[in-house]
Amino acid sequence: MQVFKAFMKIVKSNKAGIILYFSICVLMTIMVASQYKDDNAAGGFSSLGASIIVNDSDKSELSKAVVKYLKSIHDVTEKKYSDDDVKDLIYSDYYIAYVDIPEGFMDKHMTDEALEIDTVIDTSRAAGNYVSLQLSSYIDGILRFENAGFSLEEAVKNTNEAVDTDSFIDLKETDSNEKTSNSKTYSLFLFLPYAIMSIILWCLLPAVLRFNVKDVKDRTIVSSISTSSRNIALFGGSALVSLIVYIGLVVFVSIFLKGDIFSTKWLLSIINMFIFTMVTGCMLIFIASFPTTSVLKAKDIIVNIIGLGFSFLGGIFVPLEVLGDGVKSVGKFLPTYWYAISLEKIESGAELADLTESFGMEALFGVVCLAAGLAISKLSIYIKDR
Amino acid sequence: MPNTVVEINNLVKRYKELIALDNFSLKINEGEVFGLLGPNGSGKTTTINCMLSLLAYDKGEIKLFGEKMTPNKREIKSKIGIVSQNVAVFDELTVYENVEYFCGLYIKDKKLRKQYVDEALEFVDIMDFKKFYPKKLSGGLLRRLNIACGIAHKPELIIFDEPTVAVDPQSRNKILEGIEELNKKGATIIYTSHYMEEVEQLCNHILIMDKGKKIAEGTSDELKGMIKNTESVVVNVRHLKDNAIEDIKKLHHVYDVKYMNNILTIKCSGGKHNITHVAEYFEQSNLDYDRIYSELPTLNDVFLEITGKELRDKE
Repeated sequence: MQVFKAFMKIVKSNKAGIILYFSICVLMTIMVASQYKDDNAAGGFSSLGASIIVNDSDKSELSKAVVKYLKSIHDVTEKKYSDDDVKDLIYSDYYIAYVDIPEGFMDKHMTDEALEIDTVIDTSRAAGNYVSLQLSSYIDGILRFENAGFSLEEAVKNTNEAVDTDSFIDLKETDSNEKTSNSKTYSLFLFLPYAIMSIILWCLLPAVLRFNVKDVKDRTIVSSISTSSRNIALFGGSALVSLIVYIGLVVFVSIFLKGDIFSTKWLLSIINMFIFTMVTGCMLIFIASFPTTSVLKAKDIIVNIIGLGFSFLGGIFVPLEVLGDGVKSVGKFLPTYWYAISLEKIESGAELADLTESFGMEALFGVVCLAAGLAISKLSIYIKDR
Repeated sequence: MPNTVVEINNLVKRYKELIALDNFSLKINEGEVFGLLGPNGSGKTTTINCMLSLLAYDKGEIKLFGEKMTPNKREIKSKIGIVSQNVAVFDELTVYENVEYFCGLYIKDKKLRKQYVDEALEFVDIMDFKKFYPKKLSGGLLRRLNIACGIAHKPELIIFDEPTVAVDPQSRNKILEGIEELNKKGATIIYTSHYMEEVEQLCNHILIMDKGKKIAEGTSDELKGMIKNTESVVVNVRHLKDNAIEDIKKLHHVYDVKYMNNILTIKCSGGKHNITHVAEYFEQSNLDYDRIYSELPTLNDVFLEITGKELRDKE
């Protein structure tokens, strides 16, 4: 108990570092979460409004329905412009489309003639093309309902209902702020290994090392407590702190996930994170097995190299698809890589059984670290005695 | 007859080819201040580490409080306190927390532990610094904290492994006085050092070791009695000629004369008025000298005469 209590006091004395890394984590979470601000509750896609000009010269029941439909999606300005003015407005990026419903639009419909709406768009921009597509789809929808025997009024109503769901794709400019195509769960869980490694190594490494300083260790070993009690206390302390960090991060991230918690994705993500936390614990044992004084002196460098290096090489900061083959082949030896792979699989709807390989590879790194750490400790005792 | 607290018989410890302890034996009785004296690398710390089961040894036997010492003998361990050569404390804990931690490894009762910690802090006189962190303490205060951590649980056997290395004279005296007081209170002390003056001042039984072997053992006087030298007469004199040195060598009781850097050292064996004889020779020969004085043999002389080398590295 005495060792455990002293261990926790030493961990507490590193609170400045814990606060620093937790603040980084908070900042990153807020940044990631803010990208999803406009998402609807279902988490699907939503249409983005665009500024368009509509000139309804027909003023018929059908033309009014079309205008109403456009208004439900876009920021519509109703006005008639000359051809030159329209070109100026569109090419100067004020509007993305000019929709001109000609006089006699309804009459053509009544006589079953082909319906034509003049649309002026900037063809270099996807949004303009999409407005044309929306228009033709909408009119096509009305015609289909009418062909099915519905009156115009009913056909408009039914078409409105049919399109009154969230669009299947985002209406957006390719050069504007792009939204990530990944879910919020994926994005928020992706950077957590950096926070886990930094917080756990930063606060636990110096504490474990302090107890391994030769004279302090000797003084503890020659006391009336057994070596195994000492080791159990240190292990217990480390496990408790790791668990607190893990739970803290899960709870914190889950707050931002709102409705997504308790989903399969969330559950598998927290399992993935738990495995990674244990792997970090094994890394701690490995590092702490090296000569104490040297490691204590290089503590800051070690934490940063592992935290940042593993995150960059393992696809935590930079998406895996962006990483080059050379980097990826190095990354395959790191737990962060397999964490990111697991998360990608979870994102694409994998079940627990599909994750055996990536979870296993992640855990394997921990097992190797643990085995190497214990071997080094044994070896140092052997060398000391020889 | 006093109880034997430590008994080491024919201990052998090898580091590959190097024999750190070569059939080393010692016996320490209850209430003794036992000085383990030897130059750096002589095997003092190895002996202590083997005694505490911190190091495995190749041959021999170690008995503490009448029982064979093994790493699992917690009852024996609870009677031992160790003050290591290096300050072994936690930088992240305050002075009080450090002493409380080490005391708590032995004393489970909270109330009693608090009392012991307070007593230890009072004893080494660092109560005023109890809320300080070790980094804020001077070298001397750190050493005293190190001692408080080793003695707070009131051990029966306290091992001081060179506790005064790099300590200012004031703190050194305080530490030595403290050790004497602990001994008066009943603790058996093992004091390892290469500072012969401290060992002479403090210890009532001294063992001199070199290259893992015991080379002499006894009280300070007994050790000095083992050597030829009984007195050294030192004369500060300039430009002494060789024939004068030869004349001095012929004086009664003189067995060795050295002249270096204007200092003449005359070693005598036996005789009560050697300094008078030397002074008379200088008078009669009309030789001027600045200063003449007599020195009694030290443990260094004992070591020098037995091994042919200095006990302490020249600093």
